[in-house]
Amino acid sequence: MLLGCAAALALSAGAGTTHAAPKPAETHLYWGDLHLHSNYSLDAYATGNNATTPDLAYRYARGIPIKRTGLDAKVQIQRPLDFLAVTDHAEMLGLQVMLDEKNPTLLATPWGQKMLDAHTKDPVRGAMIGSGGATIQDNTPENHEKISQLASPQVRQASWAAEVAAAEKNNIPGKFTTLFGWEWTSMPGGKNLHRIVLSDADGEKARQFYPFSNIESARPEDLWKWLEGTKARTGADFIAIPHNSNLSGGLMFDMVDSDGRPLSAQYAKMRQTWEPLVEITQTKGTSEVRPELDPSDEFAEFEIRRKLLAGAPTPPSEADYVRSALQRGLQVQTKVGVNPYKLGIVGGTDSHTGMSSADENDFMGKLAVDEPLSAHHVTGRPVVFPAWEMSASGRVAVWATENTRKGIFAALKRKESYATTGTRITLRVFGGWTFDPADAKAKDIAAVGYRKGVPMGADLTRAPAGKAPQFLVWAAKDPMSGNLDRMQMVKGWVDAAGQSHQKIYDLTWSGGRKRGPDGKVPAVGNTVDISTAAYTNTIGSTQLATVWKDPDFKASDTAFYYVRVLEIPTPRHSLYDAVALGVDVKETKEADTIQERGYSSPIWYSPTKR
Amino acid sequence: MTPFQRVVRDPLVHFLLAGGLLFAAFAMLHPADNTGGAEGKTIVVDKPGLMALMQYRSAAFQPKYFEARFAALTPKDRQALIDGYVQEEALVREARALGLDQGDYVIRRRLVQKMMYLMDDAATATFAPTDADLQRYFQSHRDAYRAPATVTFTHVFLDNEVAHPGGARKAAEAVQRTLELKQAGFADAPAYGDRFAYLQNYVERTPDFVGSQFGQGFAADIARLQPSSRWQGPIRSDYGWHLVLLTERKASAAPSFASVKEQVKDDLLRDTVSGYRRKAIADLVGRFQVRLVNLPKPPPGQAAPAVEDDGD
Repeated sequence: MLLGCAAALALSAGAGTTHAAPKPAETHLYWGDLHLHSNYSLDAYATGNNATTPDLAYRYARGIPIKRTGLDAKVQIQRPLDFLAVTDHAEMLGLQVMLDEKNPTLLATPWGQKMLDAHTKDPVRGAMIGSGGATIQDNTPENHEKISQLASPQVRQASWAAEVAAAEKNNIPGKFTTLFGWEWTSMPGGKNLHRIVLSDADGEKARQFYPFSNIESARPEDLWKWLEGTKARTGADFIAIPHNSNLSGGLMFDMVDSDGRPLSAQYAKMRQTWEPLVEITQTKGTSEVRPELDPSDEFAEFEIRRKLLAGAPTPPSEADYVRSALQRGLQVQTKVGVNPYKLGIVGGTDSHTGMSSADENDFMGKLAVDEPLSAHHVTGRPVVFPAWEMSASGRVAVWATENTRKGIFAALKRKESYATTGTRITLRVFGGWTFDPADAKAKDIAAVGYRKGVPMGADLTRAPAGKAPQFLVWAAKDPMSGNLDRMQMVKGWVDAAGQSHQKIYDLTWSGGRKRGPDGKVPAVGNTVDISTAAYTNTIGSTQLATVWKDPDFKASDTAFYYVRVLEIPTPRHSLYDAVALGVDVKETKEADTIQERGYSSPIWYSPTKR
Repeated sequence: MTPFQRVVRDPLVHFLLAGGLLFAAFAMLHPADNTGGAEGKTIVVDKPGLMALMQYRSAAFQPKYFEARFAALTPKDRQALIDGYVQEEALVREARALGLDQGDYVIRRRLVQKMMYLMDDAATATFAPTDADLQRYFQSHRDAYRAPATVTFTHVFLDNEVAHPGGARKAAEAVQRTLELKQAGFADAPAYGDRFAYLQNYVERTPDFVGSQFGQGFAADIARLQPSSRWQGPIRSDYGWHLVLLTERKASAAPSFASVKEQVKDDLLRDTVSGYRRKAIADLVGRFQVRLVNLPKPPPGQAAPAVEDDGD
């Protein structure tokens, strides 16, 4: 199939063409999710998802109707995805499913029997409570026995084989790509250091390893070492993607390593090799920036979560957010020569329902227990993840040459990706030195962009004398969502004295609005009818395009640039629910409208070393 | 079919059997469980029980986190947790003894739900369709598996948001004359008109997909066009006006059985489970005599509305 696909592409390049690889302008936009849990995740099963298998998760994303967990009803995605990685927690992967299936390897052990007992007694949470949290650092004999029996190589190979089989079955080159992945669930002291691990492996290579988990180590350095070793052994390549840095309690983008030493060039190199991307938005909130960290950003108060995984409040920290991490990366680079936080941008759902959903009006919730709408009413008891507090977010878009494992993985590695909060905004960003203002009007903006510049995720260096970098930026609205409000450039830089700076520029916006006395473009307005959850596209634009030249450029300063594009306000899922339930939206304690948005991967500028 | 087979195929027998087995297994595994009968005069407090209580109370299930919290409990907090556990257990037992679990609608719904699960499990456990069963189901539900009809076209777009003298529609009519004059073909489309937000060529796309990008009105107009070597239109979309070169229309096609077998199996399972469920409930209800007491009769010749009208 792969061969046939390559042949078809070569043919489409036209007779007489000898280029084997497609021209870069031929990148296409593909939408996906790289962060989704099925019933093979311990906590997904324990929160009501006992039936949506990895296979069903892939099928739902492909657009095939599946049976909804616990309900006698079919459910079908509104708009299918182009690619998906089912990324279950590696720790005790598939335990409850194996207990349900009476897996003989597992049940041949005393701990397997013990878990069956717990699972029978409490089919929802018994096995998770009994098995969770085991690590080899815990030196009690009981713990070692537990790990050697519940997480023996045989058991882990069996559960991983089921994940591999599901991904293999649903991978249709050219139409729908499945990537092998899992979640490494490290959380020292309840602080979230989780990473999604993805591989470019085919089925055969994927069967030569099983997921590295928090049972082995909670230290990212150990994860990277394992990735390095496994790549050398099997030839499979990997990417690790941190997520929910917003819940990391100051750990995710720290200025020291796991042993408390300042970041070295070697650490930075290792981190850049294995962690080229970061997840900036998902159901557990925004990781771009927290308003307290940048009071000048009037759009920063957006789906912000101010508590850790178990509910403890967390103060704002520069180590927790992507914008400050990009800034810290530049700082470390000026000190040790390598940028540890050179992060391309993706979004994911982290849904535990097996259904990848991120649209406000087609949101299946974070947890399967949230499926009945009536369950969204929060009672007096404390709940860490109330349904309405969760965000219907996010999506990852890639500009790839083809929709295959090879094509998608390559786009992710070169960071030609961006994130949205669920909406499918088209976003092209190119950086260069020779753009013309008229290029913004070009019919094929991408061809101009690739010819004169570099795409999102890439680097600029060696500024020609007297020149400042220019950016050719184009966004088109999601055809099924709100119009576009504005595009902004977020720039961060470190000057010669080592000082950090940051500025947000409004690039272009709809409706010919005039900047206010504060230099900011006024709000776009709001057409949402709170009583019916309807809105109109009578404000905003369908396309926004411009060429922007950095007015504050110094060729000696290291800098990053990323684009944020905002939609006009549209109803939040809490408003759709309130209207459906016939209650006042205030009862949801959440916003009624939302300005959906997209975040591009940055383009970096590094001065030439003299 | 022998009487035995008939009995074995009776869904009610299945779920009762399955339920009975589960119950027996549960009783065997938990000989001295806290939930035990009248002789249960002891409340056993153990770590898993306390951990479970902590997690249920905060409605967060992070064993590792709570393991640490449990270990860090001061003797006073620990005692408070134990007291809470014992009180809850004692209250639950006394409430049961007083029959307070009777007539509670939340408990009733939960019991009903558990029965549904048992029935579904029973139906699923015995589900082993042959290829012939699947084939038969496929044949009788053929329409559900048809691949949708598709259309192939390219277009030239005139944008409402671009200032065209006389408007986008007039501009489209002018471009149409040029296209005809120059005998522009499929591959020439990119050279004309304004930049469209989405695709240039729509190759074998479904009406739903076209509608999702252009709007439903445009999709309906496209549905009425026949393949032609001429530029048709202008057709209006949500964004402006389009000249369309529509080259192919593919009718909805029936898929092969092999290509949808998995889906057929899922659908048959779903139908089987709901069929079992309906039959099991009917059988169960059939074992009772239903007596209506003091129910006012509906007025003759007039069906009562199922739900009271708001009166608006």
